[in-house]
Amino acid sequence: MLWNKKILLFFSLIGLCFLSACAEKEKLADGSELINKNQFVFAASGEFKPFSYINDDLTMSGFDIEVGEAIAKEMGLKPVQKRIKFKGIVEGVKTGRADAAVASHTINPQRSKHVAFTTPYYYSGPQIFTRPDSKIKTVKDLKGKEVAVAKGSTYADTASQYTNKIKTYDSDITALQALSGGRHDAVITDFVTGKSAAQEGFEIKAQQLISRSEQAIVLPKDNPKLLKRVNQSLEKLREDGTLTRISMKYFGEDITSKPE
Amino acid sequence: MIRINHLNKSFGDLHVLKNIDLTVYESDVVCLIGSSGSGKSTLLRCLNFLEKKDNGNIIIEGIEVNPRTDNLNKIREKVGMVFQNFNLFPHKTVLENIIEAPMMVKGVDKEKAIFKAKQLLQKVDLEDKADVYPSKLSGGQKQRVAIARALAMEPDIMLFDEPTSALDPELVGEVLTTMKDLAEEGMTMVVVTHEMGFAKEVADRIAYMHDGKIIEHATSEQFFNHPKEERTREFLKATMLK
Amino acid sequence: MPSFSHFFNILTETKGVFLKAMLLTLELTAVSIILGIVIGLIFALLKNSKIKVLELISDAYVYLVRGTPLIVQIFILYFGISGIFLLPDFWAASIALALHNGAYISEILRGAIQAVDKGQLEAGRSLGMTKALTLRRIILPQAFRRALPPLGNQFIISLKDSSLAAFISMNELFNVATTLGSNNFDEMTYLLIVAVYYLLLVALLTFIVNRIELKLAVSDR
Repeated sequence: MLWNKKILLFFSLIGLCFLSACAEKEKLADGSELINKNQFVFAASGEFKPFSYINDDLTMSGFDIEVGEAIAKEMGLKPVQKRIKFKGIVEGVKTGRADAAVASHTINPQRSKHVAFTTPYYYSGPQIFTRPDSKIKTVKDLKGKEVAVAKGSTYADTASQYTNKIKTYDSDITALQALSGGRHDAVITDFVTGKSAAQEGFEIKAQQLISRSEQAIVLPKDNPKLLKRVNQSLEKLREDGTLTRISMKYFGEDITSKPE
Repeated sequence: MIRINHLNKSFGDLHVLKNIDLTVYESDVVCLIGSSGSGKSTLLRCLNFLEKKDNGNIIIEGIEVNPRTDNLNKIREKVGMVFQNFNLFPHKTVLENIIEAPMMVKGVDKEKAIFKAKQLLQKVDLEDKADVYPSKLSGGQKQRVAIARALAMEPDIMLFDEPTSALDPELVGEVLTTMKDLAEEGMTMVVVTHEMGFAKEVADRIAYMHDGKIIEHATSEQFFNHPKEERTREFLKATMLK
Repeated sequence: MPSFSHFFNILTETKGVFLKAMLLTLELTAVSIILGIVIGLIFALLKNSKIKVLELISDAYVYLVRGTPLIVQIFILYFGISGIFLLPDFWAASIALALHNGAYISEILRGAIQAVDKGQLEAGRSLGMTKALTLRRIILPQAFRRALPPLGNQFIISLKDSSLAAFISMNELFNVATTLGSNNFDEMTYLLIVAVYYLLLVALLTFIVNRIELKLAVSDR
């Protein structure tokens, strides 16, 4: 029957599509593996201005994006952006949806169990943000208060040390927006992100800078050769001032060097 | 008791009732007969204002009714109607069907309403069906319940719109019997029907309608035995041949 | 892919937090269904009113609500109007859900009311009942009976739609699943778990609707 043949063909085509999606990574001469041998596919969320944000043409820009592109260039590969929601990036890198993630991940032991980190590419820290009229100044004032954070971020863990009323959003920007609009008592996020949001007109004020953190590029654990290459490229970019240049462009200061 | 003067009604371009004059006296049983499309159902439904007249007067108990300003619901409490398709409330039992309007409209209290309802069910010979749902009844039983339901409001006049036309032949008799009993008790009735036998036996007066007009209006005896109009004679001839 | 024992372990470990979230999902769904029926009934009656202006209002409402995604409506009520008026998250979500449900329910009820035999209205009126009384006692009960299957369907849709409240940080089932999933770098397991919870809820809802249908069918057409 013609119908049965058509159905069979249809399903085998779908099957083929699935197979190609699970394609193996390509192995290079030096032993490192890439999804495509000429490309460096790096993930970012696009929801963490000024580190990554979406342009009108739906491509991403920002500090993280430029660093990713600089690294790709340094390795002689074509940079390819991949947008993944922040909460899904670590798993995305682990399962091979991207070669790496340049997405402002703070180095922490929990993540280190699942993925590998490069050397830090910038230094920052979580800060408390509130509305201008708020009485909250330090982490002690957070007790019993409602704090909004981004899902999958270290800020959620930070917040849980001081309060158990935690609300999660997919992006830090949405959390700050809600705060600005009158909801929740505080947001914990990167001090640079909050500063940038305030400059853009969000009704928020910076409070205590809780701690210092180191942010690095995320790679899968089973790809040590690629990790080595990326670290080498990072070192080059530090030495020739590229990292500093990018930092000055976005922040007017150099956050890529370790603070004293 | 009810008088109609110069009543006209059209549905769009179709002029269905043309200058109707009709008077129904207390305890009268008037049968409206005629072929389909003659306007008899429409006329009946104008009597309880289910259809709105275009012009003419409807005078009830000497007072002209103005449909725009008068409380038609109050008028309808006094004018009962029995439909060709029974229109029983399917989600209520027989008893609940009958007590619904007295309780909800007249505010009769439940015990009283049930008592009255059971009396009426006895009258139509259906007391054992009080807690049954309409879907379990035969057509004839449904119609008798419908009659009891209408009577529960203690109307002054009862209107019947082809009450037996939807019934199997063997069930017609029980309904006609109920109606005959009602007539003998002195109820004022206006009946649209095809049942010539009933009309001949029970009606006081017959109004024969054709094409929106009352062709002949006479006592039953006169109508069947000495019809005046030619058309009436033709009609009678055609029906008697059956 | 996670192993079955891993799945089962997490399922039992997270029982407490998921049950709490399930309660919230149920609350959101219940409120949105009840409010949705009220709203749907109002707009269905407006549409059947035969008064042109009221019919147009009903049409406009249905068009607007059916024509925009539910998530947009939720965001508008949560973020958008917070300039004027701060709606607590539960009410932003449940009102958006109720308004959304209401549009579909109004169409369902409108059809069901129209499907009730015209003779029912005539019988009521001929007994001296006002149109409103007839509607309330005679027509609506029959219409609801008829509307139960499509209404039940809408309730199930509403249950699943409640997952969108996750995007305004409510800790209902879906949010808990994705939060725990990303915290533990194991999205798949938690998504499967939450799917099981949703399946259970839908089964429960279907059972309840079926029981109601059976009970009302006693009078049996």
